[in-house]
Amino acid sequence: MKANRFNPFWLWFGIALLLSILPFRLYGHAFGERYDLPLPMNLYLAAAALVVLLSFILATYIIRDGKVFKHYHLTLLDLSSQPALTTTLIFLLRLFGVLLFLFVLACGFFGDQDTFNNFSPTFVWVIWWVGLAFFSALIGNVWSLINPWLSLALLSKWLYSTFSEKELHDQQNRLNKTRPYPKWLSAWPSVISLLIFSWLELIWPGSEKPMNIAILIVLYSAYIWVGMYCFGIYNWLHHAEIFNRIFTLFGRFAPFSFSSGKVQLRLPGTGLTNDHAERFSSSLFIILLLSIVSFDGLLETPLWQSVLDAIAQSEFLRPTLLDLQNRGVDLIALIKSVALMLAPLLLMLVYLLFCKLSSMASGSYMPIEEVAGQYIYSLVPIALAYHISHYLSYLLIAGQQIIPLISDPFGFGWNLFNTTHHHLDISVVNAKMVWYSAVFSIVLGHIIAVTLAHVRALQIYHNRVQVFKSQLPLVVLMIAYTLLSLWILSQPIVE
Amino acid sequence: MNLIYPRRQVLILLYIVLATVLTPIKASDEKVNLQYIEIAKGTVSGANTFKLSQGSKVLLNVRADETLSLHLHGYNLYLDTLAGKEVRWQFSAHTAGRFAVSIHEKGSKRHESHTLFYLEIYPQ
Repeated sequence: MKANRFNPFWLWFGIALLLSILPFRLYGHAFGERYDLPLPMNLYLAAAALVVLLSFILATYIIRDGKVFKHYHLTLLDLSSQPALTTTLIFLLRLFGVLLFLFVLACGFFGDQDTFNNFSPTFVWVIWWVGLAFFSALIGNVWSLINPWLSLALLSKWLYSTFSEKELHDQQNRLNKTRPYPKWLSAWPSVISLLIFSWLELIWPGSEKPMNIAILIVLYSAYIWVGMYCFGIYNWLHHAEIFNRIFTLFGRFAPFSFSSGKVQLRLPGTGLTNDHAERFSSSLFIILLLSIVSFDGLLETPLWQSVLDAIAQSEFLRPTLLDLQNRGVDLIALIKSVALMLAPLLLMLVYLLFCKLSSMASGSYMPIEEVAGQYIYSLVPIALAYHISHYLSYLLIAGQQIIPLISDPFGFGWNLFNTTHHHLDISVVNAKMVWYSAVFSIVLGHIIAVTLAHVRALQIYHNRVQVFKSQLPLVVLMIAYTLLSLWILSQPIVE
Repeated sequence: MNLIYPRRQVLILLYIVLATVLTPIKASDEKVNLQYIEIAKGTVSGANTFKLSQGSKVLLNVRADETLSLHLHGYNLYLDTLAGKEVRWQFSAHTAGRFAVSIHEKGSKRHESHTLFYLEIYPQ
């Protein structure tokens, strides 16, 4: 039977590759200008030194047992005894999410097609994509409460069960019995769709057009709902809905957790502990997400510009490149697409190499995939810290575009809330504050990362010497990763 | 002769005198950043990043080989150059940041043209 199995990975990979070589004109990366100053050299060096120093102090002296990082939960609000209130609150949040979803679609389809006159592009790319990532990481995961794809699926299931009660029982049985979630598929759908999404976000110039955004949302909705119908709502949500995976992952870092009617406060990062090794596809999903975060910043450095120049001037590639250009292929988009494919592969290889070193150093010789699955969450705080430092001023400046758009979301010339004349105030962010908060979050993210990996090692190995030895390669990897983030921040942004 | 000076006029006069005397003093306190920028064939000669300090008065003497409309992003200021002549661009560097200056194409809302140079305004 095995020979008949069709692995959709290669189909999607082919589609992604095909998309990436289609000729498109490039208008420069995500809209909304950036005015960030590079991190000054002295701050860069101070932060780098602090990172190295703290890593070894942490690894050798501070963390002696896993207790440091476990279970400091403070319940702020407990609504578990009031199910009616909880249900009403959740219903209102879900309603809010669905209305906003429909509104974004309406603006995309029926509004003015100029990017800056339409609510959808700014809302989707700045407020939702960048802003919700901030909110998820710094406050808590609200996406699972407002996710319109989940809400609408639950609604249709409820409607179906209410209006066709007779068939329901058979239907449900049939669905549950005949179509369990295939194990081999694990998190692959989310890996493939994240790759496509990142290409659309970072490279495809059409991502700024309101109509395109609306069409993409419709296509994505179809992918979600068909999958939910086939494999069950929550199965598909957890394995394939990329935003659920991303915001849940970021939300695990956050200081607040919302579950079973409780709002709880915890130490940031403690939610990222895991008690089993993640499957390879899940590890790959996280690596892909992390590489996208860094890739975006790398594309704006002068180094990337010189790489592009070197490629353009290389004697070896010139004939091929000229040939492609004559056929109407946009070379920069092509090179970027290749880089976008290579970046996660490279990061994964480096990560696997250090996992191998870790398992060799500890003398346990655990399979490399399993080691990778054990420590994957510990890399998340480093990426989050970088993401927050890189996007803080962008969110505060480009995010202001939403103020005039709220009054005239369709671009029809309305002025509902009298805010259409708001001009971007570029002085809202203090450059020094941005520098210091960047250094602070990068150092803190690094500390949390090192601690998380250490805590995990304490659970895997019971011998302190093994724990220490297993951590050395990982600490080196984390220092390198953090220094990469710092280095990107110290580079002037070139667009 | 008994002259009665109306009090209000005296105060206004005093204010005007003080204001005119004090204004240059205040202005001379402000640092001045003077930069010369040469543009030929759509590129800047030499380094393309100019470092300035926040709170200073910026004087950019721009000489270009053609008539261009320059756009300072973020500050949203425009300057028209004259072919072969030096034009002075003067403004106060009130906000820190890294701001691109590009050639503004009339009629287009988006700035897809390439960046000529950057002004890096550092906080003090």
